Amino acid sequence: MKLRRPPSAKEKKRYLVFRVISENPVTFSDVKNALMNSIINWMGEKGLSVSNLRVIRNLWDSGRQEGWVTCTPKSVNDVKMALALIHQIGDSKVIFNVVRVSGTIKSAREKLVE
Amino acid sequence: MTFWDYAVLADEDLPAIAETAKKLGLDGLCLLAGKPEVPDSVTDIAAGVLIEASKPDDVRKLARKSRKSHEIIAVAGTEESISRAAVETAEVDMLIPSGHTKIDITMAKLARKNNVCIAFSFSQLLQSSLQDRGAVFAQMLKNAGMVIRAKAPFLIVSGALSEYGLRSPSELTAFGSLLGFSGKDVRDALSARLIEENRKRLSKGWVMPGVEVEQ
Repeated sequence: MKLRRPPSAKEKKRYLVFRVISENPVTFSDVKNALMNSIINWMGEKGLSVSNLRVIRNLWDSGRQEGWVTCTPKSVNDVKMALALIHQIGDSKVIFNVVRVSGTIKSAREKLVE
Repeated sequence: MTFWDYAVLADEDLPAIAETAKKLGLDGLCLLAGKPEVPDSVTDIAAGVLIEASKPDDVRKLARKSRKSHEIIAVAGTEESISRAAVETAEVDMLIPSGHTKIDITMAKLARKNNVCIAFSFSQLLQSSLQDRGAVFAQMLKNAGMVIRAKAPFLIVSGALSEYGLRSPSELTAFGSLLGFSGKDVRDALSARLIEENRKRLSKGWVMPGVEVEQ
């Protein structure tokens, strides 16, 4: 019998959906680098490790300039703040706008459609 | 619920600013620099003024002079004496302390008595260098502590100098929460309550609090 971790023992996470408003379109690698630098500047390396932050490559939509990150529920405000503190990528000025915070990808997608 | 940004300092490219604000989910903006002439704006725009006084007496004079012509009166708290004069003047709507200006408990209590909102500007963090940012945020945390202790009114504003300085209500709420304010208070700080009250006071029928002439 395969041993399975019960759902109650799993770490909870939050998915943040953000849109990038910029002068010129930006790539996923630019966004990821800017995001990681900003998180380290705002929260520090310890904060980054505690927040369990992941930037999801598969869900990056270059057409809509929309991306997803996951973090722990306690660090949502810090991640939002770090995103808001990004004002430039390369030579192009940007705004990172968090459009949704959700517990699952499915519910975030449903809310985005609404 | 409607969200307002009460301190936008940009004076160029106003239609683009209004459009970006709409994209970000802001229902209204208060422009503190220059005259807002934005025909067919997609966002509600209010005319405000930012008083940058060099002497405390000038704050009172300028606030009284501009009260009837502007919907929002803000004072740049560059020095402690200017901030003190601002919170003592009931005509002032909000005080925007500079990054290193201290708000003590007496000033916070005066702000509550005269209904002067203490504004926390996101642009002060955005424009500060990495080394300075920590000091600016530390001072903001102390000021927020005083505001909470005195139960003084407060506002969370972007203080944007261009369209790319604007931030959405979601980010401004996170900023307010990190300063230690409760979610309900932060939502109230971003609401249209202040502008609705001021517009009512500037209307012809308003006489004094509780007395209005119906037309």
